[in-house]
Amino acid sequence: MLVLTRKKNESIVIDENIEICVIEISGDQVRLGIKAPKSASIHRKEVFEEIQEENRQAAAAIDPSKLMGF
Amino acid sequence: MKINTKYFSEIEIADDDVYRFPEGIPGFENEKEFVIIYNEDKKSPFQWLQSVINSNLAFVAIDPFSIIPEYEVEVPDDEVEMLGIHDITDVSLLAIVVVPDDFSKISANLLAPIIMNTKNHLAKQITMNTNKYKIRQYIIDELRTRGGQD
Repeated sequence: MLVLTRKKNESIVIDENIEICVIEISGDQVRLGIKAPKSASIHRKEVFEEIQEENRQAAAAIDPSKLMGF
Repeated sequence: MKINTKYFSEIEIADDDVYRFPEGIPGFENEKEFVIIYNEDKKSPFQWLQSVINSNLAFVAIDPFSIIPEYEVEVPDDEVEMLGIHDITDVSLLAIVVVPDDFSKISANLLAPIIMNTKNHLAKQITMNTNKYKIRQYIIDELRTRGGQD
C-alpha cells in the first residue's frame, strides 16, 4: 500500500481523472471530497463488506413453507 | 441439462436459463452461474436464485417492485456497459432476501439489487450510492399489505 501524508485542502490524483481532497480533519475523522468520472463506483469499504455478510446470511438454509401465503 | 438444487431436488434447465455473473456475487465471488427458479405460486413475490454448480447454494429473492412499486434503481454507466444493456426493457431486477428465524424480521437488500440483462443473460449485484434504501430493509409490512390485497 502506498502511504502519503496530506494536509487539509491538499489532494491526491489517481489515474489523472480521480481526485481525492482532504476537506476537513476533526479528531479521528477525516472528510474526503472525491472528484471522479460518473462511471467510477465509489463505496465505503464497510458497505461492500456488509453486503458480503448479508449475502452469506441469505444463503443459510430456510424453511420454504414460511414464504407461503404472501 | 439437469441440475441439483437446494430446495427442489433435481430440475431440468435449458442453457438459455442460466444467468452469468462475471464477478460472482459479493461473498460468493466464485459463483458465476445462477438460474432463477420461479415460484409455482404465480401470485408469490418470492423466487429462488439457485447456483448452477453448487447445489447447496440458493437465495430467496424478490422482485423489488412487488413490495415497493415506486422502487428506483440507478445503474452506473460502467455497469450498463459491462452488462451490455441497450434497452431498459431488457432489464430485470431481483433483491436478495434474508429469512431469519423470526419471520417478522424478513428483509430484502434494496440497496444492492441484482441487475439482469434478459437479452444476453449477464447479471451483477450492484451497490447504489443512495441512502433511500437499505441493505437490510424490513419488508414484513409490505408483504402483509400485499397478502391482504390478494
